Amino acid sequence: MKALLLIFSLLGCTIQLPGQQVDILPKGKEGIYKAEFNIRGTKINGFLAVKHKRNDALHVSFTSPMGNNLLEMQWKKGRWKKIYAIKKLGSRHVYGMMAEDILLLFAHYQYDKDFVDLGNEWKWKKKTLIPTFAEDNLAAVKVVSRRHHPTKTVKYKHRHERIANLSIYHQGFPFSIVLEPLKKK
Amino acid sequence: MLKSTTFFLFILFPFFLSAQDWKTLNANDAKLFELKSALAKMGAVKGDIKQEKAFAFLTEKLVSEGVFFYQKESKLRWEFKEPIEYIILINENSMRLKEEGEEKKYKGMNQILRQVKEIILGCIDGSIMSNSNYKTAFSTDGKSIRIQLQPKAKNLKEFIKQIDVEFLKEGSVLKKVTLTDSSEDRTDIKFSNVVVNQKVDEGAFTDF
Repeated sequence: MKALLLIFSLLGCTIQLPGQQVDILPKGKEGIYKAEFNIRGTKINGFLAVKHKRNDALHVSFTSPMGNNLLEMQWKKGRWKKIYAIKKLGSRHVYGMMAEDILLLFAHYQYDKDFVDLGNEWKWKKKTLIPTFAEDNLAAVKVVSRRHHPTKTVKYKHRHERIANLSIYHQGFPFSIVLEPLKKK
Repeated sequence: MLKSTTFFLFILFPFFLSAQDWKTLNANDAKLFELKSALAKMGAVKGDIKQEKAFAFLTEKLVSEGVFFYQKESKLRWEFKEPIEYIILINENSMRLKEEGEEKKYKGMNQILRQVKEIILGCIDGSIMSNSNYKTAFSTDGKSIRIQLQPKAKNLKEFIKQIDVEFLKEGSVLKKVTLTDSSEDRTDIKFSNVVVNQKVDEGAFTDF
């Protein structure tokens, strides 16, 4: 029965086409983003510096506009390692949500061994990710967690074939991250 | 062999030179007294700021630009205009913050803001030189005086590893502040077009 359902879902799905772009920050690339974190209603502005390393590690640092580090962590071999976090961002619950949201924002789950591409939907750590594409670019990913858990939506806005804005919102919970890449001078 | 050794020495020579450029100053050195007394006479200072944050894991730097206004005793407007609007107003004991057009009031950041206030004001008026919360070292390269500060308290060490403050010897004007945090990331704040003792409108410290 399960096999039949799998075959049916594979036949019925819109398989990701070769030209469709799901890499938000390709391997070896780095970027600095204007960032707004909304943590339970408290908004913190700053900058998020991100590097997708050659070994698929994702190194991120959130700094205040004054330049001091608020949070720094690295995702490597399927785990986050906290390098530094201020008290406000370092609690297990907040840190855990931010860490997962950053992976979702940069679609970095695709480099995790638990990621399964089923075509029209993706599976990652008991979550179902439903992508939508616009003009071959990843436009949104709906995250459906286990029952009773709030869902999240990741959105990508493109301008001139580049990402102009990426955001993640939790449904029914005041937690969000909005990023805008800084224009290079 | 001799040729290659000579070549390496030739390559490294500028580095030896730059390392020798800074000579240690005794805490009782006359140059430091001159600097302190010149800063004590400063009633107001204003100028442009350019902040460059270098991340240890990134090649790209984060560059922010803006202006600052200071008036004795503790009045400061620190304003970044690019790449985001960010204004800190310090008026005696009050401190206000505006980010991207919105005034912020968040409790969790109070400790950081207090440190930022102490560091910025301390660097501009020179009071950080005699702040007992820091271990200090002084040096000069002839043109500038550098003060290197390392926090003593554990909670401060977590926030910042070292602060380097450079004053131009001529005119005792603030030239550069470098903040090194615990992860070895460096933030350089360069000051330019600095004007001393020119009256600053009171509104600069009260209105966003």
